[in-house]
Amino acid sequence: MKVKVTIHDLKPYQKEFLFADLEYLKAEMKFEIFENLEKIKNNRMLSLKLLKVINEHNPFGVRVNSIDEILKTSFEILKNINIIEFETKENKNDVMFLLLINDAYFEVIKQVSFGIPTYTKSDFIRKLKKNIKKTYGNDFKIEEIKDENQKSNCL
Amino acid sequence: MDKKPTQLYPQTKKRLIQFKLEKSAEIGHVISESEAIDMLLDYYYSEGGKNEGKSNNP
Repeated sequence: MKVKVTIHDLKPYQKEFLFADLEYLKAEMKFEIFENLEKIKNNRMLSLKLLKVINEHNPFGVRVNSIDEILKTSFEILKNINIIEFETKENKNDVMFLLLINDAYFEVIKQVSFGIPTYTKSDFIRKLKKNIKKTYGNDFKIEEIKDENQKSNCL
Repeated sequence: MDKKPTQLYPQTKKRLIQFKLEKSAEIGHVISESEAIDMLLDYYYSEGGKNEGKSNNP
């Protein structure tokens, strides 16, 4: 998923805030996955279900005995995976940034919630719009960039 | 329940969440906002924290 955001008429300190906010977003999205995985650990029924599924489908035949082992390994792996990347471009007082979000993020959130309706792409856009409006005012534009064959969708 | 630090400067918020991410991955469970702040304060008041930012040059 690609999202292009242009925020107009920013003051220099707001630009600094924006770059920090983007880094925050990057870490926050990853942390959300951590939190969702932790929820499984705290739910005995889900933990047992997950252990059963893993042990049944484990191609190496190594038995996993605790959910803690799985979590620690997952956290370590996730720490090194980029869920979101961004590119920024400045033009006088305007800042344009392009967010490249790995679709796996939405898939992981869906999977770890075990079917409970959670965070979708439109929820992400809605949240982004709300946060930009709150921090940087109303003068901005968000566009979801579709694949080459599709037209971009101005939001 | 944890209250999200909405009043913090973006730079501070960014450092805090990055710290939470690092620590959670290290210990294998999600740490809360207050735990993270306590850890950071402990570090700051320990020898390592006191010496942080000091130049090596006399």
